[in-house]
Amino acid sequence: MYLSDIVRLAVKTLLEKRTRAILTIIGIAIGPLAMIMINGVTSGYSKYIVEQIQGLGQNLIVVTPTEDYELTESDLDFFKSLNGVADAVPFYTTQGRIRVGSEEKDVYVYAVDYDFLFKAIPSLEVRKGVIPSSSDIIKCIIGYDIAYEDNDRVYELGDVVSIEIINVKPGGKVEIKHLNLIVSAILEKYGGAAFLNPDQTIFMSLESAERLLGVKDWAGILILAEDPIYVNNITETINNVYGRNVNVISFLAIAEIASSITGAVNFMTFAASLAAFAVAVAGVAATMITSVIERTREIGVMKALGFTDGQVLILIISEGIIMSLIGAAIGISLGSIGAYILSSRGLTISSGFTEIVINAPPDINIYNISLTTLMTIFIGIIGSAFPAYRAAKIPPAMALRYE
Amino acid sequence: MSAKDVVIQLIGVKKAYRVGEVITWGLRGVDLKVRRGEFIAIMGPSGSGKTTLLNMIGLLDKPTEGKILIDGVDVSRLKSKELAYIRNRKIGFVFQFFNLINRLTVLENIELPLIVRKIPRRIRIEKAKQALLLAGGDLSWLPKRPNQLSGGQQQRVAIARAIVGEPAIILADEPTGNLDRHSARSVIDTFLKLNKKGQTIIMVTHDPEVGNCAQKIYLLRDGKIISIQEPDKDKCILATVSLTKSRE
Repeated sequence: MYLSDIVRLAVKTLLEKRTRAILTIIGIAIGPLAMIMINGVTSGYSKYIVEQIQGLGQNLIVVTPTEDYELTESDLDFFKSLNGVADAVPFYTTQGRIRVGSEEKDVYVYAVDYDFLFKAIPSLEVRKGVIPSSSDIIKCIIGYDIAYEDNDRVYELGDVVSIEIINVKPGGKVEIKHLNLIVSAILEKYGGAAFLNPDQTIFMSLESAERLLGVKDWAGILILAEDPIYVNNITETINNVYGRNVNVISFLAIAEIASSITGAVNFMTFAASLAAFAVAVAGVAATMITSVIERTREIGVMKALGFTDGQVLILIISEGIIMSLIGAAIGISLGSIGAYILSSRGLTISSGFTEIVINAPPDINIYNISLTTLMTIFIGIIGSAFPAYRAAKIPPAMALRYE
Repeated sequence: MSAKDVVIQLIGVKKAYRVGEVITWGLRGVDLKVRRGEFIAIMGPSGSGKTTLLNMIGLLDKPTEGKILIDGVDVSRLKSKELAYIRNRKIGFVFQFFNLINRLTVLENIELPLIVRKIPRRIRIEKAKQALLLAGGDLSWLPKRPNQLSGGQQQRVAIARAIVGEPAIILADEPTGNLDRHSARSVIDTFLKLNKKGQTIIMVTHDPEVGNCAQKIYLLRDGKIISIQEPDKDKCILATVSLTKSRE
């Protein structure tokens, strides 16, 4: 038999009982629909998160002390001496409030060495102005969303930003400090960052924080590795030496965790899709068994004409495969549309006073589509295999007697 | 006549059916020789084993005992795939209820045996047309569905399907059983024309007017051939039913 003949005969059989075929195809389509939609959306988000983290710098490691410990110059020197460390700097961070017109706006304040900052986050760019020198303690760099609100300029180079810094001291005492800084540079829009939000951040030098805010304790130390391959080793060494005294976070590790979480989510959705696939197998089998019983006599005739058991088997299984292919096409198309609709609503993560909305397109790729198609074809084969085998094995003389 | 001329030979063919503990014999030892170009009729009362015998010759069923030789080859112990091959190449079936597939066109029905052989479509269409003309059909039927045709026309499509692969034997099981007299006459007329061109035909019938058109009549009773009779040509349907009255 030519493939064209197999397809033609199978299609004609399906068209004869159109409604039944359509209902079966709808049943088949649900599996690929769910799989493409859910997987597309989750892996879209995970891809986005991983890209964001990698944009922050795969070489970056953050070391923060736990409550009972204080990081000092000797720790800094120790980190710098570790194998694979390019540079290490202390940093200070807090949250503050600025006035924009009549409204107040929450901002992050980061005090860190400017050179280090731009080295560690390569995707950070200056829109206009110049990076001030570290000794220029009254100057700062502001994020895009601070400088512009709804595309209207709020702060210009040379303007003074008045920041209200709220500090909760041990014992619950609230201390409010006022800080006035001159805008020296404005950053390009960084985009919806998930972990660091440069658009809503005011960067100042560490010297400036020490002198103007009277900060003595570092919030932590940033370490820049020479290459991502050193990151895990450095993290491990610090963990071994300091134990519970510090927390070591590398963005590479976060990226790995994020990937493994979404991997687990993907696996679960895959497992859930399997349920839909199992139902589809039952649907195909029910349809094919009925169809084959109705055609018992006809199968007898075909065998009398010289069709082998194998050819009868192929003809019937190809009916299942054709229904699967149509079901896969429908499921994948609708699933893709569904994924775009679902992901266009965005994923909202709230933590503290910030709310990050992740707007990532679904990740629907060739790999996804081919895996889903293969699984759907598999449904068709599995669902029709038994009915086809039974049909193929009916003795022709008996099939011809069938009324 | 040499052994080469024997197309079909049955030697002591028995067929038993087992229903639970009870064994019933469909055939109790049949010996039969059909030579190339013969047109024989197998007759007998219902339950005498006519269809069972035809199924044996058509390799649709396997004998419990005995041998079946087709063109000198023992086929009674072949595997199902080999049997399918021989059915496709050597045997053409014509059934009482036509057994055409209604969702396929007449053309597609006729070319079915050639699809098995992987013959290109262009050649298949050509052969299907020739076969339909030989079977006394009309080329205008080709794009139609079988159920748009009359019974007599459908049976001629079925004959075309049986001869399209140029088989050694045509096996016809009550080919006129479901037809009116005029249609029956035209089917027998077609058989005789094919036979004149050298086609071997084995036909099962209980209709004496049809049986008497053959060259030999084998009488079957209780699973055994009890006699071989010469047909009475005057009682053949061609003599008793006039062609002019035929509606086809």
